[in-house]
Amino acid sequence: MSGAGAARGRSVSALRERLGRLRSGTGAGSGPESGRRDGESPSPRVDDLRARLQRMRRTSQRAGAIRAERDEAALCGRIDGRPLAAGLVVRERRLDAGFRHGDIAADGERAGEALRFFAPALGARPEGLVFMDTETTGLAGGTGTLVFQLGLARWREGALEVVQYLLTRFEGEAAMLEHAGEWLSGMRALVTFNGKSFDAPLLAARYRLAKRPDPFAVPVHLDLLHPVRRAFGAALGDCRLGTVERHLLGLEREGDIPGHEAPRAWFDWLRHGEVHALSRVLEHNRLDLLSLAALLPFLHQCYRDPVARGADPRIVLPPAARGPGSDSAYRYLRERRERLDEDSLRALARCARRRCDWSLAVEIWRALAAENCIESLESLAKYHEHVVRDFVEAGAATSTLIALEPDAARHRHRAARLRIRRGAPSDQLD
Amino acid sequence: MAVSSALLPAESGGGEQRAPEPVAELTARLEAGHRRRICAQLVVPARDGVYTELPADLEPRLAGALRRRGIERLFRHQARAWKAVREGRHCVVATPTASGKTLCYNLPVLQSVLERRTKALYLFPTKALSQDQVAELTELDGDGALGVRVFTFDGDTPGDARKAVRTRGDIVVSNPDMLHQGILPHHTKWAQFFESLAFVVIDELHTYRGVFGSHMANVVRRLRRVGRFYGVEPVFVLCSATIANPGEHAARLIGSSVETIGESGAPQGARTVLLWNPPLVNRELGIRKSARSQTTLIARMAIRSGLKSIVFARTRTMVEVLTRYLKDVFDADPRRPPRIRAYRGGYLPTERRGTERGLRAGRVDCVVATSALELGVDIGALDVCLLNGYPGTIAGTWQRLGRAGRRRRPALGVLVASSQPLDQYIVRNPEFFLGGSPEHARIDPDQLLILLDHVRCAAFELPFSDGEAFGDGPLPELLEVLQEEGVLHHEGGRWHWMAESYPAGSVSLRTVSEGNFVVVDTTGGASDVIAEGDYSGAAATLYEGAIYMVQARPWQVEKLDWEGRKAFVRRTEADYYTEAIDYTKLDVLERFGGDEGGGAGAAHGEVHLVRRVAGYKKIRYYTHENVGYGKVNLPDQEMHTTAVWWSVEAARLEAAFACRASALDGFLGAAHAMHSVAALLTMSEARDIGRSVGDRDAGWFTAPGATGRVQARGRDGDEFDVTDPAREFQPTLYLYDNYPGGIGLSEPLFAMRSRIVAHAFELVSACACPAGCPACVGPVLAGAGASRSPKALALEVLRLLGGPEPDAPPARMHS
Repeated sequence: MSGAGAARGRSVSALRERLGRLRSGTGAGSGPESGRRDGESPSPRVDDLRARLQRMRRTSQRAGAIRAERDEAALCGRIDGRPLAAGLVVRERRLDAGFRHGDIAADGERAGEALRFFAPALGARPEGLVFMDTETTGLAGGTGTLVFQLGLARWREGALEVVQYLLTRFEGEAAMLEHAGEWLSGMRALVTFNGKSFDAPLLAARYRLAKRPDPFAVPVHLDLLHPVRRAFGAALGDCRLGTVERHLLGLEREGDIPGHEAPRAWFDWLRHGEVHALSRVLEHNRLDLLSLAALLPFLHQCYRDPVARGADPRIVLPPAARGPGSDSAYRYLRERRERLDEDSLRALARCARRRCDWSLAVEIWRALAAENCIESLESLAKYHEHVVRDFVEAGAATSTLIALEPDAARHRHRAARLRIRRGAPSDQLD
Repeated sequence: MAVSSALLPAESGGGEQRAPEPVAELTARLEAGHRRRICAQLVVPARDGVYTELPADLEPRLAGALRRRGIERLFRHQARAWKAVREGRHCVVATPTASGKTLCYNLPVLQSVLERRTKALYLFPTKALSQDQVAELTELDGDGALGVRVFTFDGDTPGDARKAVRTRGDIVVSNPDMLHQGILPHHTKWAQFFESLAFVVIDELHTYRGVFGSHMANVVRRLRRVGRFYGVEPVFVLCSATIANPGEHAARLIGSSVETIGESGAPQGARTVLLWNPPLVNRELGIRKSARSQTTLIARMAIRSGLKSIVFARTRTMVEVLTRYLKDVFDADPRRPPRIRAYRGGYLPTERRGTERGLRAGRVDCVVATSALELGVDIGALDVCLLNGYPGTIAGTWQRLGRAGRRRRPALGVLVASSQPLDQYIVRNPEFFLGGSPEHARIDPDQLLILLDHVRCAAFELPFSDGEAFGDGPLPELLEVLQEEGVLHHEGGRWHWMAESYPAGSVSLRTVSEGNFVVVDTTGGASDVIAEGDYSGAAATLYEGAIYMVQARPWQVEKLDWEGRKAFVRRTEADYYTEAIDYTKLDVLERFGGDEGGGAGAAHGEVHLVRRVAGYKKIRYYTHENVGYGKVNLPDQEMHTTAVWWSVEAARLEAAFACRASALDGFLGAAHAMHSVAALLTMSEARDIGRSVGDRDAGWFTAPGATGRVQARGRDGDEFDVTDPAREFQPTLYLYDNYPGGIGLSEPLFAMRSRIVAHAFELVSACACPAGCPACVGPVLAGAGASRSPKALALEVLRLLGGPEPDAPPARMHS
């Protein structure tokens, strides 16, 4: 250690000691051990502090000793990757179409069809479709959160190309952002899982900090979390990727490192040169990418035939549940109405009403009204009052409604109006 | 105060009498009926405005907007600010309330938005002030059809509106906390905003003092650092109420030199200020009528004269008590809208806004407030300002007095002295206040703990490079400490953030500890939040059994969930209120230096302090007698800070005092006087400094017992017999910096150690009381029964500590 270095070391330790002391009292109340001793020492806190400082020094010495063993070549060997730039390694893979991922056989043609389904403007070519997933130093967001591993995948010439960039030092970030930007050229659509609120904004921040344009800012970003939630939210509860894999793709990961342990794995590499956990993070990220590739066509099938796949049948209708639905969606639901649950039946009846397909609508409402379904009873009352002007039938439905919801004023208003209409010329009160 | 003023003795009567003018009439009635209570009177004459033409290069649309609001000319200080800002110089505008300060920054900022589409960031210490500001700007914008987009960005901004604020706002109005936690750590989202950021406006500069100000200076360092990343160096415009050092303070806060614009060109009505001392009721004990009784008396007269009044009280409890007394007179009929309103920190925003609206609309006749209303919240024009007790600083006093007064009508301010020594000193030495300079605002941006917090936050925002500076602190060492903590990683000449945490989330600018308390009303099975309280005040106001008041209506605290930061209260009809009894014990951790020897000495260093709320007193309304006590069981509040301490050699003590109990009484009396003097000499508020008397080796300390009498207690809090001759007796008097980590008060205290003792000696010896009174040695209990008076004992201790300075002139510390 040079003379200046030694002086710096001394001033750091003095500073550390002062900080430790200042800090020990800023929190809330302390336990009963504080402030009790009769000996000559001016304060029991000083001993306490000394112990803490010793602990602190030991860890920092350990960190220093092991850091020397950080071995990039060993890391590359372990993950079967190669150095790409200073502080950056890459692992590349090609998987021929048809590879199995859980119960799914993945291929590019079906990914293309799925893309056309979810983003009709783009056409059916699988080219330019990029799957993306990152591993980061934290979940809190903000400019201090780093993407230390970026995984990308795309279909090309009958195979899935997977590229995984891994930083071995902070220095490698600029090269990673640059290489990824080149790799992405020609990208037309981005597919992620929860990437709209997490991965993409983080990468945008990283590109901004590096003062480069953000190549991920493409017009089409398909975040599969949302269609999954719509189709399976009620059935799955939490829609995390692991849950989706287990229940939908039939994939059980073995020995997988949980995503939240990823930051620690990278820190341990940086501080202590530990390779094992980091290699597991890469494997975790690779599986995430394959799941994205498998999930996209699977979801497409679900959206085309939800009843067969156990998804919510209503996903064939537009999300806001307004309008009559497309002819094909209407036909789809009508043909399967014996297999629909109550919610879907109600949705089908709404479509039928908007299409003035009264016989189907009334059939469903009658069936559900027998189970005291409020919406169906009300629809029946309206239908009888306004469409067929059968005030007696309308009154019967309204009486049931009043019995079910005695506090709802609108039922009583309807009942009063119907009483008048039964005795008055009909066109005066419409 | 840079005013031409006439200091008149009370006997000569005050100013010209204009009979039909109600303020003058009230002043005359007070003088006629209570001449002996008025210790001094100051008349600040009315002042004409000094105007200049609108700047020639002012955008025609902007000039049009001003003319539509009746502004044809600028005040001189507004024109000076225009020139400085247009020429790219940082400036601070330090002119009185209602002098048109906001135009000083709005005009150049709006001009630049119109000319070059630049962006500006406005920072106000509170959300309420931000909303006032946006309302005013929006009005101005509408008057001139300027098309300038003004948005607030704070905790209430909905998530889907935030993007529009970031990308489309020309002027973003926010607060320091939001900048610190919401904007800077996400600066890449604000890239467009930062790239065009040309101005930063910091209003209410005087509030950024102490811990808050030290944090704020570091937030500004981070703001400027992020600005440099985007290639901008914004111009800072700051506004301050009266303080002694606006230019120096502003420069320290932003870390650059600043042009000071201090002379107001705005017209002002005449202002009369009375210093009022309640009459003596017991000359022997020096006991006077309470300030409270006098304040309510004057307030009643003002309200009955049809004058709009504001009453400032020093504590939240006193706000509620005074409100109750005035409501008993004026709001007896619950069917009528209230004429009296209370206003203090802790009330919910809706409650406060309602009171502000009522004041502006003239529906409320009198508002009773804490310093929460000292800031520039728009409450319309008032006629009379009453201060129940000296606010603690000259600057604070003028700020509060400034809340009453209109541009063309006279105003009256009355400072009603309490029995506290500072108050009594002020009324006995009126020139100290009326002719004195206001206080300095002090900050210490390089205070180690605060600095470390912000180095951490800054490192998260952008990696530090070797050789980079951050203020004047020891940055390289701090970065290394952070690396040892494992949050930073040094690589390639840069210090990278390497932790999962979000550091700004755990740094609070206002206090050192985290977590607000909410007050939950559970009356009748409900669960409504009726108020909020900050962490530091919770132990002293929300203990179980406490009477908690909102708009003078009492609730009782039934349960305090300390961890969950919740107090559960229930409506009650108690005829008493409560006051906490707390005490402090202190350990010396490190001695920086001292000059002990020669029989007595002083030293300074770092101390560890434990504060405990042990119980509370119940005090009956109107009679103010103690009607009971309760125990409190709460965690201790701990703090590390710096202190100065004085002690006397054991042998000299033995020789000077007949018994140890008398010596201890002497130390307590001396501590009382030295605390007051120290606050005056360092120009800080009394609460910035704490005092304690205890053993030098922390074997015992003093605390009030259940009867109010101070006694010695051991480390465990039990009574401790100092008279036991087997024990050493080393009483020590501590004055400490009352902020965690200290904000740099104990160094000047140590440097002034002999002056503090000397002036305290003069304060006590010159006091007119025979045996000691609240104004010199603190409250004296009747029948203490010692052979020497508390006053004599205190003087003896002060003599032993150095006594009167032999060669110093007896300054102006005598009466």
